[in-house]
Amino acid sequence: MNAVELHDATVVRGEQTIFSGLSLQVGEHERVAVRGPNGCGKSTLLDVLLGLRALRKGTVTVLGQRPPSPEVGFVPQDPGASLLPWLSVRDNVALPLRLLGAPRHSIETAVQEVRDRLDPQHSLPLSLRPAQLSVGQRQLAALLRALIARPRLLLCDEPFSALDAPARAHLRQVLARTTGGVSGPALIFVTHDSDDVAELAERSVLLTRARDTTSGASAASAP
Amino acid sequence: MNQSRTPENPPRRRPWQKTHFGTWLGLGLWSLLADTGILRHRAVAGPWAIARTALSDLRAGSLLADVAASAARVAAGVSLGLCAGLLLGASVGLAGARRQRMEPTLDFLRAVPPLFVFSLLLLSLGYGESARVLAVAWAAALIVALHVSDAVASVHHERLRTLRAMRATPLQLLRWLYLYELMPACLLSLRQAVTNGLIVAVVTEMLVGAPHGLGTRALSAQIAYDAPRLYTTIFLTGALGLAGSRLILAAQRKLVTWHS
Repeated sequence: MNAVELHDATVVRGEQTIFSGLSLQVGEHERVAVRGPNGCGKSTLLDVLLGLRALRKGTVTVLGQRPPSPEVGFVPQDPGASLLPWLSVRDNVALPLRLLGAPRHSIETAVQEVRDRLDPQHSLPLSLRPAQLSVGQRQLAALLRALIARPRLLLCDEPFSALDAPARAHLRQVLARTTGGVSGPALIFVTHDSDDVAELAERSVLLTRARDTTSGASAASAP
Repeated sequence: MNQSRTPENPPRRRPWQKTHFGTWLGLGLWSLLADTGILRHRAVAGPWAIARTALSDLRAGSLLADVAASAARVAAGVSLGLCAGLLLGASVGLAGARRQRMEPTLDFLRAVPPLFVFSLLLLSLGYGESARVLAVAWAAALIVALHVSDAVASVHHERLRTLRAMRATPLQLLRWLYLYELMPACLLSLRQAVTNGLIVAVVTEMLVGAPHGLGTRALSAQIAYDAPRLYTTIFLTGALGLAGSRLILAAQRKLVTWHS
């Protein structure tokens, strides 16, 4: 079963077509990069897969069902903004399980487990608030939060865009270690950086804005 | 042991020195002009006369009764106004594109003086406490609604997107996101609501006779040309507003620890 199956998808916002005729298949353990110019609908594509935006036309299946799927993790573009500043890092990481109503002791176990898996050196201080962390640490916290419920598909919206080179390399390693392979979750990530594509993706999808329309329609190709 | 007076080790001050020198100077001058009769006018009262009046009213029990009556009206009205303002503000804030069409209505209602609403309430509810409390609630609700609608509309998009991606229910969004996002706006508007509520409460007490209250006290002092009692009332009203404001600031420091 594919992680994602999108056929002839069209998304419209108000008068504007964000993309149209978009088809995409992503395998169960595949790592796919989504590239393209600003405004071509990369983040909108993730919103469709998350079930946050409806299609005007076409069909979408995520892990065998119509989105939203409970087995999808999400890392947004700006971790500083997406982490809740009133919670500690530990509570932010545990939030998906809290929303699912998991018992307290299993949440604590899951936090330790995901921390050991992604941050074995325990460089991320769980007791601090997000505002007290570096940008790289915040993005790592957002990644821990996305993976704590052991999703089968991970969606990342420009996860490295705010990071410096060492933090970027570290996070790439973490993602490479924890996604894809034989048993890891499938990964779809939006990026502008060809190094991210070369080091992390098995395949990349290019969204382009159609030149012959004024409506912003897009098409996808898979080199 | 002698300690050197360096910037790190300033000289110790006696308690009376800690108060601003200017305040003592002002009080002394005021006392000199008023109590010695240099400045003689029916609207002037010296600090000692004011203190004596306050002490005698405190002993008689009327002072506390008046402060308590006004404070209770403000507390009841502002609590009602907070609830109504939260509901109204959240509805307007969540209205999306319709918000722009609803905002002129809010601005129109804000321009209506609460005392006009008080007159209307007197006609419909009669000359009881309800009209006074509801006039305070009206003033408070519109302040709270304006702040809350702004805060709801400007909830951080990326946080909302992330929580919705986690399939948070509307109740969970309220519990984990909106409650915290709205808290600074609520507390800020509450400070303004308390000050405005106190003004409305006192004026409504002056307009239509209430058995107790700072407005009633001010009105009877004015009729009796009792300047010391009028000054006492002015100071007490200011002190009550200040106490309310400080209380909310303390709550803000305790509750909103993440907000810079």
